[in-house]
Amino acid sequence: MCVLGGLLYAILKVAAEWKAPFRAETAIDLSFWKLPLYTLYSLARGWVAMAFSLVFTILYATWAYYDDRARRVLLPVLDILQSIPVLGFMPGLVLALVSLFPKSNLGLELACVLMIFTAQVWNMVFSYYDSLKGVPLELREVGTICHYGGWQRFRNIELPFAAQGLIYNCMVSMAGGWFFLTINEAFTLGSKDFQLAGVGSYMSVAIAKNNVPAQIAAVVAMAVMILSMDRLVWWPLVIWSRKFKIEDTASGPMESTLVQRLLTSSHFFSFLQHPPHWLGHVANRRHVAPPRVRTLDAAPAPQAGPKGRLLYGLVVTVAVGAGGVGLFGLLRMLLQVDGDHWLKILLGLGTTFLRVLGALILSSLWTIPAGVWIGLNPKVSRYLQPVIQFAASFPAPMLYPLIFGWVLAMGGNLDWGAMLLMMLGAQWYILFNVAAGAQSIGADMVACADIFHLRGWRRWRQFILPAIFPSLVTGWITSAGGAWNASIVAEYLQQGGHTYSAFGLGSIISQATNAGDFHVLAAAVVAMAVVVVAINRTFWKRLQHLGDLYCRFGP
Amino acid sequence: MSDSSLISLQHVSLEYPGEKPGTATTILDDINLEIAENDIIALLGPSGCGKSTLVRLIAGLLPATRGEVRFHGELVRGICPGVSMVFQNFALFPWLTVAANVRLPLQAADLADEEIDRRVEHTLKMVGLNGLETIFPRELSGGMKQRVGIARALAVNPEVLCMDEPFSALDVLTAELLRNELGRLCADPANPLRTMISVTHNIEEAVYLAKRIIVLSSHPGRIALDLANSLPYPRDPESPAFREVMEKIHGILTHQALPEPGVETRSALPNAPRPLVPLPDSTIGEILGLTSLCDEHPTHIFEMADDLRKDFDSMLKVVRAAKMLGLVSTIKDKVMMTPLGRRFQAVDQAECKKMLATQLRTLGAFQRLEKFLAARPARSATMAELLVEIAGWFPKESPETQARTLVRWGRYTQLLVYDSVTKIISLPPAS
Repeated sequence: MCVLGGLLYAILKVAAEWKAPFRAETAIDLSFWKLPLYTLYSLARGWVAMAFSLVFTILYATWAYYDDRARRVLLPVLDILQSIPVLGFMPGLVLALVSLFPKSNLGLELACVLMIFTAQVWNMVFSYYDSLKGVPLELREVGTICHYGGWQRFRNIELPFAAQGLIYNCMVSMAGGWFFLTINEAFTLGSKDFQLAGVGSYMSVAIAKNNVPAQIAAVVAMAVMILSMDRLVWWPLVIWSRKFKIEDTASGPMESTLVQRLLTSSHFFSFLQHPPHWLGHVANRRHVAPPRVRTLDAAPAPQAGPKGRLLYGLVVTVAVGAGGVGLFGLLRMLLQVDGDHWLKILLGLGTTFLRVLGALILSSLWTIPAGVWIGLNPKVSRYLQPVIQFAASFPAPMLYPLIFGWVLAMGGNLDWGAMLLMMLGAQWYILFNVAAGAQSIGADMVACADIFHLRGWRRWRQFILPAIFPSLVTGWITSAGGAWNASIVAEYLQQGGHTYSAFGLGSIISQATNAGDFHVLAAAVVAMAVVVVAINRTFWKRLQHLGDLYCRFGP
Repeated sequence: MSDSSLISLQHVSLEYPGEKPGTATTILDDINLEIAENDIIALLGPSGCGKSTLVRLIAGLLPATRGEVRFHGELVRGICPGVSMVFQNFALFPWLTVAANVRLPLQAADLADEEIDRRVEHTLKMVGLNGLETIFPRELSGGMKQRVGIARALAVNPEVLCMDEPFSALDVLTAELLRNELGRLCADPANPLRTMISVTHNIEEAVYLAKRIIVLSSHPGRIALDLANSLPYPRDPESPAFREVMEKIHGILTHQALPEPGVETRSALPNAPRPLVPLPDSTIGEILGLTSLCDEHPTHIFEMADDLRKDFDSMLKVVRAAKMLGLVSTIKDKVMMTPLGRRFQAVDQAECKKMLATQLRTLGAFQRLEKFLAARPARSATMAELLVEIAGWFPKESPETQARTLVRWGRYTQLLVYDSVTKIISLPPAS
């Protein structure tokens, strides 16, 4: 009763906020009592975005699965979309939606929701697509025999099969959606300041006013939100979704949440090979793989009928048309950027690249030993799991001001500090993946190393490092993606009334957004996307191939 | 303890601590074993009896909870020196070539490079893999991978070679081939390896390869039998002497698993208190299937197992289960259908379930379960509570396995209701 009542009240409050007359700049009250309300608003936005993500996921993935020709376009497009930093979407979304709803807050809210959406959705699509591919042939055949139409097939076969993977990805996406919360709720676009009431904007204002108690309060509110969602929503959902497991092994002891379950269950270590795709920057399908099922090859995608083909043709024409117009517009914008700016962008690209590299190397120095230790010690992983999971879910940019404050106090500057900040969000991926990789080293291999007296550096060089190499590469890929994304907020900080900026591509993007310089913004965003995709497809892909070839244990 | 023993285990026990303090699972209990030079030992036993654990203990991969392991009379801490191991799933390093895999253990020793190369070449030739040095494990078949495993283990010239079910992961034909080759290797006087301990669940393999056959009982693992096998090498599995040794082992194993009447008599009073005997972990399907394969003429259990290509120890389990339910009876190592079993063949499914229910209620364990549930509020209990209760009935058995069997049989005969989501077991409403 109580819960229902509370839920109803919450919904009403949120609806009121959305309907409220449009105020470009909401006065954020830094009093602590307002914080629960603000947290509620942020939470509501996250959930609305999640709803959009689910619908988009199911539609997009289903289309890509059933339509061979569309798939050839849809999947690469997805790759590219996930490599575009969220700030690339921001100006377009905000300006368009605000002009659509000039009178009420709805436009701005929608823009914020959609920006959260862009951080959540990509890995969900990949996961659902993977699930569709993995539906066992027998299940599909049952559907055919029962003369299932599209909806029935979806509801009775595809959705249940994909349920577990989808829920895990939702969990992960939700966390990822928070990463840019501080920006999504309070940003400057050209001459206009946009602000929405929420815990992200609360934090932004607290940072601007250098109000440390308020910042800490925001961090606490965020932490409480993440933890309670984990316990109240995700855990029950995960337990419930277990009934959709295809293999009939007896269920083990109740694992508490995601990471622990994954770290201790060999079924899902594949999830950690494709870890939380929060930041949408990695072009190589970083997502949760669905449960491995002992089955025949998955069914080939059934082909659409003639009506479907007509509809498909229409949709394609519209999409291509719209895409073409958009692309043309983009190109025009890019051409308007002069050579000086391009040079700056290229140099910034190089600098940020070096920072990403540095962040990767520094992170690896501690996360590889730590990950191996955790992976090889199940007791340790059980105790550390909640801590690590929480640390990884927490949006790092919220802590940037505090940490950069220390850096300043110790006489550092943002040029080096940015690398540290980028590390903060990105290092967890390496840790997760290495831990999963170490955990999946069979007991026999360890026994082998022991019996043949592999010790010390030799043990690491000849045994442990090659064994975790595939996982390590996955961790690096996602980590690099995260670092690129984080550079946008790490290289340009506004706190305590001062503006700190380091030279780099992320900084250029932030500054262009603030200044409303859309051409430069477009150019910088395109540059980042191109470089990230290029590196993924060449360097990382080759490393992954090597890892798969040489370092996979298997029958 | 004789001075010529290479490895000696005295009062060795291995326990794994349980979730709660005070609950510990004993895997191996009071093992006393002397391994002398030139011993070729086969460790035989049903699955889960701890034989893999024992061989790892001998190798020093696992520390004993109690007792001492000595090598050449000296206490062993950590890996036993002079011991090498072959693994069931080969345990090759996929990023190293065949030659590099074999070279791996040699690099830890202080040997000259030429010596290392020479040994690698020699052992690869010994297992028939010369010419394949630069190939990666993923390109090899199972049999070849195990040859690499054997070569790797032999390259260091170990004093004792331990093998953990080396042929289990191979198909029947390849296993046969490798077994023969290993047998030839053992008999070869030029081969420096003299002492070997091999874990197997295949009785024929044990008799074929070993000079000494040690049988372990399960839950907890104890040495049940230490038999000398003095057949001359090379051994012929078809020869009568070979068969005789196998019969002897079958007899002993059967006698252990199926004690003679006295413990299992069916009383005419179905409600008389039954002795509490743990249930074998078989399905109703297997039990009924076995019954249908038997007839009134006694059949050798071992022969039946052979025909069905079934593991001898899981065969014994099914026979024991069928015997407990009164469907078959056994004399020594032969099994035959009882009149009750004959009736089972003639009735339909529903009647069959009813008859099974009646039989099930004559089992001591099941009677206890019914009493336990009936006394509880709502005539039900959670799985966790049931496990604690069962642990009290059968301190030496795994509560989970017993519970699973009870629930399985109970559900089939509709004597029990079990909700796998809430994990609650209950008696059906009293009708």
